[in-house]
Amino acid sequence: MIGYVIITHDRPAKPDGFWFTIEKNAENVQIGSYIITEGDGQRIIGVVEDEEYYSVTDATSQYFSEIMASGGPSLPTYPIVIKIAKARIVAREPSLSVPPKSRWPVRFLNAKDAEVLHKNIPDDKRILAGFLTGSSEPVPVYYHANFLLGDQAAHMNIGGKTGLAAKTSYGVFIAQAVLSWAKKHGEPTAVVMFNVKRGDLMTLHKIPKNMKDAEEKIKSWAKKTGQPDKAEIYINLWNSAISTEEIDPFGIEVKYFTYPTDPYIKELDNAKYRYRLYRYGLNDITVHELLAALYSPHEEIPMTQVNHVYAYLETMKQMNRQVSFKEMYTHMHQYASYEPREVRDALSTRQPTPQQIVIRSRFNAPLLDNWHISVAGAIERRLGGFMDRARGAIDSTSPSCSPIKFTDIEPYKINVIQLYGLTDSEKRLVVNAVLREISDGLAVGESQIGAKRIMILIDELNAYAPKTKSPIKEQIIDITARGRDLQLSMIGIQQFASGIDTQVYGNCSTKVIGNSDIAEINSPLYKYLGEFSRIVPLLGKGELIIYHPMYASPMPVIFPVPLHEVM
Amino acid sequence: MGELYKWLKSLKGSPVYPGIPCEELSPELTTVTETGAADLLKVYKFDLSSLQADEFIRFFVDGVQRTAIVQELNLLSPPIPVVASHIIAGAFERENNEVRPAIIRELLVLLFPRSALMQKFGDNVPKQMYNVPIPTLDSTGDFYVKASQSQLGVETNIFFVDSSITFEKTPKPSIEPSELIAIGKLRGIALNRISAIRRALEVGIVMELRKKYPKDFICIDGPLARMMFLIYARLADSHFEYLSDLSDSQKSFEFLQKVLGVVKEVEFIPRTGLEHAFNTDAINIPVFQIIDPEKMEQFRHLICCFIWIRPELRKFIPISGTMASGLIRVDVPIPAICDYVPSWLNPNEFRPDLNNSSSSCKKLEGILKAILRERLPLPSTRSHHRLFVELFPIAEGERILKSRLMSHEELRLIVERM
Repeated sequence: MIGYVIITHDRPAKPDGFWFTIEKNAENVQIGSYIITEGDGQRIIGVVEDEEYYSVTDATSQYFSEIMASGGPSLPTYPIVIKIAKARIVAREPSLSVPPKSRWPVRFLNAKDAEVLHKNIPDDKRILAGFLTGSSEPVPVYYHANFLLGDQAAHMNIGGKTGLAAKTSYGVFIAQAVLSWAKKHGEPTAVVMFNVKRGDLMTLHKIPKNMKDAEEKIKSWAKKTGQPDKAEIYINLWNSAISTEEIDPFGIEVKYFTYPTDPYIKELDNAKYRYRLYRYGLNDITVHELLAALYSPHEEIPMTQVNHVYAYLETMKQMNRQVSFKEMYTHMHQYASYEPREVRDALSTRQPTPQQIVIRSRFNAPLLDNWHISVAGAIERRLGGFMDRARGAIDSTSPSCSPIKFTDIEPYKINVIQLYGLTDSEKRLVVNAVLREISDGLAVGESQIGAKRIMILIDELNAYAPKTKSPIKEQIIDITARGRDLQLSMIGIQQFASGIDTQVYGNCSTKVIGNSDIAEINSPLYKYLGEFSRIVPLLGKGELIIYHPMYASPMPVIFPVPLHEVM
Repeated sequence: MGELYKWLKSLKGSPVYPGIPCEELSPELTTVTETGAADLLKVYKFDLSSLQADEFIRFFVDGVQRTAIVQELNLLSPPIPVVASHIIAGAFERENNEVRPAIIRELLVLLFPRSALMQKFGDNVPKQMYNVPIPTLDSTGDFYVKASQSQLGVETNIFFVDSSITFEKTPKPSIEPSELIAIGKLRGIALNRISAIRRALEVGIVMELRKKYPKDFICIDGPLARMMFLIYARLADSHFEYLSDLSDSQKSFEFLQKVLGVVKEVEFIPRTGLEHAFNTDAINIPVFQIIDPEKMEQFRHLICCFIWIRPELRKFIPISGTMASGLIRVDVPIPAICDYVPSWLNPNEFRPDLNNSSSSCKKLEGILKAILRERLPLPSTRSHHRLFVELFPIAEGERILKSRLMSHEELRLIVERM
């Protein structure tokens, strides 16, 4: 028992929340604690979003009391500290939009009560989202599969401060939860993750052998990282996740895709782990992907250059000619060297001048209707620079190489695509190419032999979907806009949601926020947090606030440390 | 709709908007201070920086009320107001330095001048006027006994009071039939009755505490003068009638041994000698025995100590904002400091011996130190007057009691439901 619902003129109970008293022996009520109040056949679950301790006296009185007491005897009486907290209503039974009717008793939520919380999510659609914070026993929270993976709604955005918010770790946890759900219900689902931070996701296969081994490793990890109090919590959460929620971290396979010069490849070689090498030639990508690779996200690309690239590649396509990056570079150099009329004259005359003979011998690019020397020169320089830097995922000499295909993505597995070590241009190229491949694959029904649902995790989303006007984000916008119909969902991760495209962010039906600066949280994007915005800067590692369409309020949750991190 | 409501309806009662405030918000602003003759017995001097209290006040007693006109009886023109009041008295003690309720007693009363109305109508009196459907509080007393027998909320403790008859042992009419037109008087008398019931509950709580905790000091918020305190003993519990006129000197002596009164609104001050209290070199407490012939009956069982408990505040706050320049009066019954002598109630024959070496002097010193110990913390700064004169545990206790009071609207509704 914590206290009672407050129904007073200064703190009236409302349909979306109410204040309640905190009695003396219930001082462990904190922001994020889940409570329940019952009466008249109704049950209301709330989450604590604000708390106030005060006495009826005032600051001036306290100040003078302290001044007057200095040097004298200690105060015989302390003002009564009144403790109250505000709960935001998360779920209720029956579904009514009215305030609690009376001064009903308030207590902490237990696992049995949680059913009210999830009553709108059928058993076979429950994907573990984490556990409620502030509970004495692990109380699970679920996402609705159709609202996370499509087709009702889709996409998740995870934001928060680097190093503190544990964004990628949560992405891994969700990947395991999704695949465990998929296995249990025979839904061919694949998770695709892009690894952008060193070996972050390249060691997902290195986990403890079993839960007993995991317990030992979690304990020593907690000690090593200076958070010994977390060991028992995480062990409890994992035990509950595995035994009650049927999450299977030990049985989920990982498939890696990497490029030949990846420094982390030896991790996989040593482990003799299954991986596949990828490289892209010019013919393996679309014009759009080429442009996204050549130009930086915040750059406005001149239309003359876009048109020239389109015209060139379209002509090549009509001629049924496949070219490599190197050949394209050579052709751009040729366009940049001669005016169209010079070339046409040289090619058409019967009696060429020595100069025209030189042109005839040197110019083997497809003859376009028109071009501008300076535009071709600019593209030549872009392409040259790109080829100089992009030596990992790009094969500049072959038109086609070994791109990642839709059929390579295996269901019931985490498919990790290594991007770390590539240039930003290469990363953009690979990400866009993979997204297009998956999107097309799901659209044309290749899913009959592979994954029916795919969830893609993109770290540093701001690099692929910046807020500024840029054509490189079109692929991502397209996925967030129509992905849910294809059952293609995206988990975008970035530090600041304020830095990414508003359409992309707005299309994410599930929002997750970890520890963040108050300056970021003050952005209107986070209005959905309500009073919780004040506690975001106080969230610890492993603590997040989730906002999912199935719940009336944002909900603070905790999740266990991913097992590959404790090795 | 309950019996009470039906009864009022049969008397042509109709509900009214219950927002008419009946209690004065700042009673100290309208209270007049009188002066009179008093003997200065001694001036105590205390250095606050080295104050060590050996005595402790365990209990603090206070009472509150909320009153509203809830109906009008349209038997006459103008109609007669029906007043409802929620009265609560409580004792508080400290638990881990925080004030907590020890005893709470509360009741609801409904008042109108029934006898005066019956007289007015003579033979035509509505017959329902004879059948009051709820228990009554009247001159037979035992208010506290009745209030203790049930708990508000479990079994509603509601009583009827005929405001046209006094609570005296031999009741007298206080409103004549011809005065029924004087609505202000009807209201004022109703408020007097309500205050008397509240005081009776406070005295009743002191009685209960004296019985349960005979060794512990009890501090009551208000004077111990006869008409302000002792007179209510019979109304609280008829077994304590001897206190009302101190007729049993031995029993009265025993009862008063551990009772103190702290007066915030000092209405009576000595004509001379009070200037000692305003010395700022230390805390100076002049102690008086009231010998004013007009007041002697009221004060013969006690001595009065005048204390400027928070002299430091004078630097920041004008003391003329308070009734007695920031002084409180501590009423100390003679039994609290002296051994029993049969003549203790006769100031002409008995004076407490306050020579430095006497045990009475030491006992009073202990009591005064215990009071001074309570000077901190300060209560809320919202009222200058209270900032100077209110002891914090009493302020906190009063807040707890007030938080339990029904609103004016609830008062009206409960009358409808009964």
